[in-house]
Amino acid sequence: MAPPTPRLIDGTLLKQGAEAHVYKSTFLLPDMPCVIKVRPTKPYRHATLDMRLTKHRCVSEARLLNRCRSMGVPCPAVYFVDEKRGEIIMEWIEGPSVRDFLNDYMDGNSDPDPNQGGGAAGTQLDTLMQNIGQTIGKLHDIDIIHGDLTTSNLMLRHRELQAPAIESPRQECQGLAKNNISTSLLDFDVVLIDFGLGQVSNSDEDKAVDLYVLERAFLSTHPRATRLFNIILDSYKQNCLSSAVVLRRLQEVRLRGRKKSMIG
Amino acid sequence: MPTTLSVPHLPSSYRLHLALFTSVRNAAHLHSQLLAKNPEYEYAFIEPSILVSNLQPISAGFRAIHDLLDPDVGLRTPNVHSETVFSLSPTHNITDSYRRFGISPSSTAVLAIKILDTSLASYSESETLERLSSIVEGTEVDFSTEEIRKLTDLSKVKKYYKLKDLGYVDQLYKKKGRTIEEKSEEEGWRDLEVAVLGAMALRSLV
Repeated sequence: MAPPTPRLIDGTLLKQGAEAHVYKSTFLLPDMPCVIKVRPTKPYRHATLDMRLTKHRCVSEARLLNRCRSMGVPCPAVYFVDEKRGEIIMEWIEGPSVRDFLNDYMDGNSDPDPNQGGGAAGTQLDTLMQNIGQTIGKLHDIDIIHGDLTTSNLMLRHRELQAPAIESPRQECQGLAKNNISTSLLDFDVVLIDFGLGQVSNSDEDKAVDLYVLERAFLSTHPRATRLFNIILDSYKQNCLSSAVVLRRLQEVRLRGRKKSMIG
Repeated sequence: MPTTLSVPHLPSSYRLHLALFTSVRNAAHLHSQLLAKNPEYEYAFIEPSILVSNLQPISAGFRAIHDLLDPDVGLRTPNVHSETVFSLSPTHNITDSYRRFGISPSSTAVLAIKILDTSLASYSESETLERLSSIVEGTEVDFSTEEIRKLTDLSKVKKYYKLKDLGYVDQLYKKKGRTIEEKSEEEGWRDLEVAVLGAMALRSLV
């Protein structure tokens, strides 16, 4: 099979990771924002292998996104897939990532200490953590493993104000963190993004590892926030139907690390 | 007045002309002309009861033009208009897609789409629009999501797009006796819309 003809992406580059480039663009209508996720060819890989991997990953991500979205877990909707070129066009999610939000929040509010709790802002943050736990609970209840749960892969989207196309997302999220916190956090949905490492599985082990990955990512990027992560776990416990076994398994995973077998 | 669009990511010379009609009287005639492959009647005639928003047919048109221009894909049906109808389908069965998503002799409402490359010398916008407005005998209404939703047949949409899992998590929790925040009507439509767009987009992958 010949490799597909490369194409120029029409949009602005937002992020570039090891595997994919993410662009902001428009879909169907000039005022409908979208995200284009492209997995470019890797010239160092054998051409046939490269095509197969690219196609496989693109297809599995698109399927997972579609399954989540239609079953009712908040994530971007899939608009268009060109699996040969490794492109997915998906819904634009307006808002900051939880990571950016927490960093700005902690920069701007030296007290109250998030580990102490209390205060109006403290309870607001608690609500955010509860929402995160609830969303992950939903995801696990439809037997989907995200595979890369980090605070960068969780976004905050306002329920009503889904205004398209803002000038500077960075500024917006700082404003959110510093000014409007007392009223706004309750109105935000937690949206999951980037299912590139996801899979369908109903095993406790996989779900526990998913939580473990989030725990490690959360505590290493926000070291002051041990208490906050426990709120996520509490809320997961209350919401996810299979939480009891998963949380028991999480204890084991914590002791031995992410890999079950020590081979490979 | 028909709606004319050029779609992002496609060559700007390509235009989508769309016109929605209700109280249609000549559906049987249009259907027979399609079967006779009369080039005068080369349009995508879509059954609007399977549409949930204006994005759905535009997305099908996008897919059809995209595949037409992509040397690695190409059309799987005779022309870009039949391909538009086929693109509405979540499965690979072409005959089924015509029957389910295309016009039938008993249709009382029709969405007509004409796709043209304006860089061709033979293109005339006024002629195209005039013909599009007159080819279907009926009352032309606005090509808008609002008008489309008046015609939607939800049970058909859910059956054809296999949407029994729509909102599965909430149903599961409700069964377990939890109180679930009711979604607004608009949110419900939006969920349905993206589920349909997703099913169309994932067709090549099933």
